[in-house]
Amino acid sequence: MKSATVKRLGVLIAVVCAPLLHYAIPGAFWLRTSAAIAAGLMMLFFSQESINDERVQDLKLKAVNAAFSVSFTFTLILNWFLNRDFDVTRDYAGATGGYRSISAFDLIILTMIIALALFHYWRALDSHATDTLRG
Amino acid sequence: MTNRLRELRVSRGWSQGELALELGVSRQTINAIETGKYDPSLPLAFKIARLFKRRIEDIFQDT
Repeated sequence: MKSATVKRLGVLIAVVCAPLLHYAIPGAFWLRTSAAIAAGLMMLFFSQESINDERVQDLKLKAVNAAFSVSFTFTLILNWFLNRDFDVTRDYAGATGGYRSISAFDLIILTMIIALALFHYWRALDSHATDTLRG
Repeated sequence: MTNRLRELRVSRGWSQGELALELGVSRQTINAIETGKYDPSLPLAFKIARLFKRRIEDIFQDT
């Protein structure tokens, strides 16, 4: 499958299909939707760029590294606040009406959003510098 | 690591795009190397050295 197709599929799944299905399917819950969104975002991030040279790969690696550190720290802190009473009997889907904890899919979603933002920002910085330093 | 890539490129009258085409990388990569934001991999460094007919140490200096 071409990388452009994979990217479009990723966007379709993460941004369009998953949220639509979440509201269209009765009884849908966030865990299932978040899995689809996480999968879509991962397809978007890990698919090959049109120009896939070593700089791009280096930036992607740095982006996912930084993103994972930030999102993991944020998730740990947030989980602690959400589950301060450490109630292991609490239903994950929130059926008991209590707070839900952050799932692995939420972590992946946050990581991929930060990684995509960082990668494209650094890429834009490279492009901008290229434009101003022609010749 | 510092390098003389920009100096060598300009001496040949090449733009960053033309050099990128010769080396098979993107223009952004050439710019990142020239501005010191990125150190090329060994295969790319060898390609650059071969293209300019210099030794790697003549183009890239460890600071």
